[in-house]
Amino acid sequence: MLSGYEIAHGLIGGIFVGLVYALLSAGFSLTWGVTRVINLAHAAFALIGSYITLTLLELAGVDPLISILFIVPVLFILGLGMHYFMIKPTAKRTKDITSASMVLSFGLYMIVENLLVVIFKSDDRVLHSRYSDLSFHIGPISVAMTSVTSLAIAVVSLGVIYFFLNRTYTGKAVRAVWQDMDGAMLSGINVESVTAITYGLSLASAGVAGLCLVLMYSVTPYIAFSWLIYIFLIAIMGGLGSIVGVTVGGLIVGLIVSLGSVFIPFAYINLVLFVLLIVVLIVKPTGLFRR
Amino acid sequence: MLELKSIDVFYGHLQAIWDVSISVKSNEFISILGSNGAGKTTLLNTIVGLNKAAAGSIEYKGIRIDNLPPYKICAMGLILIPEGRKIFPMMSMLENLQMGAYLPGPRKTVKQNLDKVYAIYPILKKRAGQLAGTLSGGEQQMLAIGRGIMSNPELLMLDEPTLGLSPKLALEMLSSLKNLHTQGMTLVLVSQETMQCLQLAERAYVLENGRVALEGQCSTLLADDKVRKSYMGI
Repeated sequence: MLSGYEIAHGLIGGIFVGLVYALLSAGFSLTWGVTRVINLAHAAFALIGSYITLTLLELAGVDPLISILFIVPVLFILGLGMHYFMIKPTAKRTKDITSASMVLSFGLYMIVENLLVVIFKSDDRVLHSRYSDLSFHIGPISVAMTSVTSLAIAVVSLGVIYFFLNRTYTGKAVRAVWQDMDGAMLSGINVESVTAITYGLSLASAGVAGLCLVLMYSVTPYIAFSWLIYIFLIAIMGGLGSIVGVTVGGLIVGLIVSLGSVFIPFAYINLVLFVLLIVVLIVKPTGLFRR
Repeated sequence: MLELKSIDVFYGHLQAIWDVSISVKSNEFISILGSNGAGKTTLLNTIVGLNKAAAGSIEYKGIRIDNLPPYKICAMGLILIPEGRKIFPMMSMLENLQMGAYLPGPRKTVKQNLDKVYAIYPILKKRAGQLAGTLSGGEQQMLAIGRGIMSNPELLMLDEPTLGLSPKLALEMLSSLKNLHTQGMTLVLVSQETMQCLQLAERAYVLENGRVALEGQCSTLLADDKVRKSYMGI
């Protein structure tokens, strides 16, 4: 018999995991929407964020929260580099940037994964920070302080991205380019630089999500692939084009994973998720939150 | 103000514009006429930098603009209201107007320009918070023109602004353009509504298969037998 305790535990766990995955997917959804590029290397860049956090902590004792200040600019610059050296030259030579970008970014994903193996070896790595042994109590349920920290980071980051896209001129320009490229050009928007900023923002948010994930789970250079599957699920469920959609998509996926494991064996959870994905694609191919 | 000298434009290997020369003086109201596929839209898109001319030159206020990207041309006050409106459907009406003022210059005059747009199209003020994609066709066209006005245009080009509008709305739209011209705006109007355009504008060019077939004062063209037969069915 299931107790209320187990269900509550599943619910809370689902919200935590879901919001972190939402942050992981936000940038992926952004570059897909704005530039029609499917960046299969997105999760690999998140993993770079994880390893930066691990390395800074182990070598210099840098607190994971402080390492955000390092991750964001490094990943932002990697994003600009990806745009200027990979996507832009390819987009000029092909009419089908979506397919080309999948092949291209899959190669990039392989490169990043192998570099991580070379530098960090393929062992499981766990972050031991000063939060690791603390926990936080919601009624009878205790949650690891690391999870609370990563939830807070994820929520603030999603809030920052939402604010940027909806309240600043540059952010609105990102949405404008997304909705009508020609209209954006004619309004005086420099599509080139707006796109570059989109990539920077996308990878920076991935890096921060990687930090959140390494706070909660152990990582290996090969884990990015399983993250990528969640990213796809959430981006498609949430529909491209809205941070709110991605957040709800993340919560749905997080709750299914977390609550599902209360009811059914963990091995079947991915089965449930992908049946759900197929159903969503058949019933509402534009995602649950797109008109 | 605007000077096109013998420009050629290609789509891939297909030539769409042949040796077209057009000149627009300050405060003029010019109309470019022609049937479907005559090259009117291609010509306008080339002027604002969405297409590139393969030969010839385009000068605006004495500066070569044929190699500038669209946002730089926009910054000089040469604005196109495109065919099909090209508004941002998932953004609110107000956000659409704000995007017209994206560049640093226009951003300083957002408030004055908003008042100006609302004075021309009062209905837009009531729709400020509504998603642009849910506006009616006429409102979307007003929004597209409003977005252009937010960019501080000195030369405003409009591509088929009456397309898909009811005859009554189309007339209102054209008379709002007349007002803009009286207030000192230089206008280039592209349309298939030959009769109305010739009555509104001062000078006109007629395009046929990507070439200038006729040009002159509208009053002269209105009296021209060939124009009356080919474009007005009289």
